[in-house]
Amino acid sequence: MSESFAVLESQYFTLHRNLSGMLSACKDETERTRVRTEYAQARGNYWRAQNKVFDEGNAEVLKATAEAKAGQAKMEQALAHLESIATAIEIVAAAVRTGTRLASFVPV
Amino acid sequence: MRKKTGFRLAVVVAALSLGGCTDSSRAPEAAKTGSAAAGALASYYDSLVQTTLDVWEMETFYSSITGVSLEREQEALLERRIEALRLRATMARSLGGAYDALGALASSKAGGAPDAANKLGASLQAIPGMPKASLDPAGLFAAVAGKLLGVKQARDVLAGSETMAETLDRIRELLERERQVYESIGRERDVEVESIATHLLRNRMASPWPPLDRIAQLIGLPWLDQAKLIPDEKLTQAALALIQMRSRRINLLSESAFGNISRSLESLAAKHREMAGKGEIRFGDVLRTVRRAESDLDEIDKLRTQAKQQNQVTQ
Repeated sequence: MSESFAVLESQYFTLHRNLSGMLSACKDETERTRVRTEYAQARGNYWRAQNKVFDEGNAEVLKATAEAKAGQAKMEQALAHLESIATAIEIVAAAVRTGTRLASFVPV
Repeated sequence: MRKKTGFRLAVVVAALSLGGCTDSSRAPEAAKTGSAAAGALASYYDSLVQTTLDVWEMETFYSSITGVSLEREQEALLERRIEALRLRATMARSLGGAYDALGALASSKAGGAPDAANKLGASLQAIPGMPKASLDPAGLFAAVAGKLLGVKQARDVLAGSETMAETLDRIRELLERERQVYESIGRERDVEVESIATHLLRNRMASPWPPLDRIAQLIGLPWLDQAKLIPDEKLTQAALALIQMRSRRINLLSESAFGNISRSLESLAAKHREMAGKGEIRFGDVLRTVRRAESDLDEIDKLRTQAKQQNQVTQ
């Protein structure tokens, strides 16, 4: 399995499973909007990736894959401790940004 | 470009079928097996289309209840996926049509062979190019198309069978290269089912009884009055686990069907290569693998129908 694709899939699925919980933990509408925006972005990254072929040999893709994997690990840690929702949102946003970068390397 | 590649395939496979006609004892069995394998492949793609449509509906619902927007641009990505899968199903059906024509050709009298060959050529021209979505069709089939053009003698069984084997190899290569996406579509369905079921059951918006009723039927112990028995946390969790298990079951069957189809294409290609020799060739093992794939796909249909019927009974 392509590692790049696996990372984007994992990112979207993790957010999917935790979306309700994250929204409930948000303190205000601003935080909820951020969560929804990042979720929609992760979903788009995953769906785009399904329509493309990844070039695992691309050094930049490999680098971004490693970054995204690291971001994914942080995201899962944060999701396990939702008491700090503000920190969790920042970490999720950073991970999704990396995923967006990873998806952009793949030719349409 | 697409049409040209399809035409080349048509010419060469027509040549194969004429060649196969010289060995009437093998061609009908090859045709029957090839047709069944192509049919299973088409059904597999149809199943992936249905799963994608299910995902689309569920994600629309989930996005709505969580306040997430589902923009037209993102829906277009799903449309593109469905289009790609349907094109592949069409390709598989065209392959099946070619094998059907091969069977008809093999059973026709020698004088009718040219007409049958022409019909076969016409049906093969319908083979579509692969969508640009994930693979370059020209690159995938270029090598085969080149060899196909090299087949000049209609009775060249050796070259024809080898060519058919290579065509099957390329289709199998396509399957294997896209395998991760196919499997991911099934996992995506699992996630949708899990998230929505969790949301509805936790917020007491849906009844947990339909999946639990099945357990009562299995062990022959009906639940006490459901109007009075309010499901506790454990029962709700059990209902959720059953819903997830059924979704995973569809996934496992789909993966099993993929494996059987891939193996049957590989074996079929090997049989085509064996047709070059003079020894006895048996297609029974390939057909058995195809039947296993068909059984997996039938079971998926059955599970989908069961879920719908259960819901209707509940309503």
